[in-house]
Amino acid sequence: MLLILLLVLTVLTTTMSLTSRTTAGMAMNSVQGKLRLARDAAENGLVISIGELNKPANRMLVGSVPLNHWATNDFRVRTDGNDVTVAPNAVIYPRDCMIFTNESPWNRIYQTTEEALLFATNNPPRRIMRNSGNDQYFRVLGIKLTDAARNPINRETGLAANNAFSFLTMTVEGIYSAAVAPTTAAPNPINSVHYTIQQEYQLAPRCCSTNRYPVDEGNAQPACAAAGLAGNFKSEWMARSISQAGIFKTNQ
Amino acid sequence: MVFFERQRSYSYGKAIRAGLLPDLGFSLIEPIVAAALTAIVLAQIASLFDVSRRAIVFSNQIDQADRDIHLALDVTREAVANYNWCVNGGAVNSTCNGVTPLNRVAFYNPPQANFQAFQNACRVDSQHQADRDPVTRSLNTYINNTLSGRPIVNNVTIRVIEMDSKEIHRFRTMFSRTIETPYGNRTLNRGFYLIPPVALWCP
Repeated sequence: MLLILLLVLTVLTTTMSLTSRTTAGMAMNSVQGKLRLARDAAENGLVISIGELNKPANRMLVGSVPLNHWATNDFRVRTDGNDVTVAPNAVIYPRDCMIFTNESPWNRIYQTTEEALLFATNNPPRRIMRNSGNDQYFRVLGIKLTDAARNPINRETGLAANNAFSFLTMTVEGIYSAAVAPTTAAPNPINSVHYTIQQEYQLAPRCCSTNRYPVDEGNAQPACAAAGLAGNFKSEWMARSISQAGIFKTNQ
Repeated sequence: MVFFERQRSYSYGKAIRAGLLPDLGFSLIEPIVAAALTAIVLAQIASLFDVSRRAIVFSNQIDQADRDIHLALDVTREAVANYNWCVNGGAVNSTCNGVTPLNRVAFYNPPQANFQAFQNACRVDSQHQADRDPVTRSLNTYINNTLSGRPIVNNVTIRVIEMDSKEIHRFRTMFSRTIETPYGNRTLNRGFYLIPPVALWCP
């Protein structure tokens, strides 16, 4: 009787372990798939978010407003002879620099966006969750600035240089969550899968309305002085990925 | 052995005492039941192996489809990065005397006439449609006619859904790969965003 019991137990434990192994394999497959989706969400988030800073309206932020003041509505920038308070929909882009005004309102694409202003905040509840479709979400965890020698630029007072390269590091979290949508207030719903990417971009200054980057030519003058433009013209900064391929590239 | 004999003598005590059956060995029904039980257990184990095998095959196929899509993404990003405006209308892999938008220590400096055309193209309102945007229209055509569904991208279908941000000429795309799996045909879809570097030269 004991032997039979042992045999039955052996068969049972073998079957159970096989079942467990199979189930675990299938579960891992599922988790891997979700992780891939989370990674893609993070990649997309990076492209979307750095693209946000490259929109005409936001190109002047890194060199005009210290990071800690992007979302505080208490910082003023001189534009067209007046002080403009930095806030969503404010225009800090000089009138002389605008080449595209076929919009309604006419200066729509030159209005600073709230999405960009919130990148710089260190206040976690304001890391806005974005839905990129297909149960994929992303949020910018933060950005930081460093100068040409990769020394940190002061978040309270520092600005990107207008006569040299600077660097911007952006951290984005991608999330895949099929059951419950993550939100800004509750970013970690049960069974959500997360993947974080950090990427450094080069900030190249140029004078607005021109298409040359003086620093690319080794010119250490401020961008507008190098371009021979004065008056209301100001520098703007384009974020370029180090590999320069499609702004973000996986195989380099 | 003592244990078994004792059991059998308990069950068939009378027959043994009469000398009609031997003391040792199994009755006819016992090996049949044992064989049936063994067969059931083996069948279950075999089915588990089969489930496991199919899951592994499925997993490998999904992995491969994912790799195909990411290869297609890299090829597409390469094309997007090499899209240049040295001829009016722009072209992939065209050069301006060796200068491309990707040159690190260089600047985009097309002939003056082409630059004027480029600036004019930047001023056009594409209304969120890639095929209406003069700056990147040729790139959209290239993705549709030269890349999508071709062996160079492992037959991955690439669809430009829209230009979701006309300020920076950003393409919203969908990459799709259909594969045959043990559970039938599956289509893996991945959405990606692409920004042509040349568009950032729009003043």
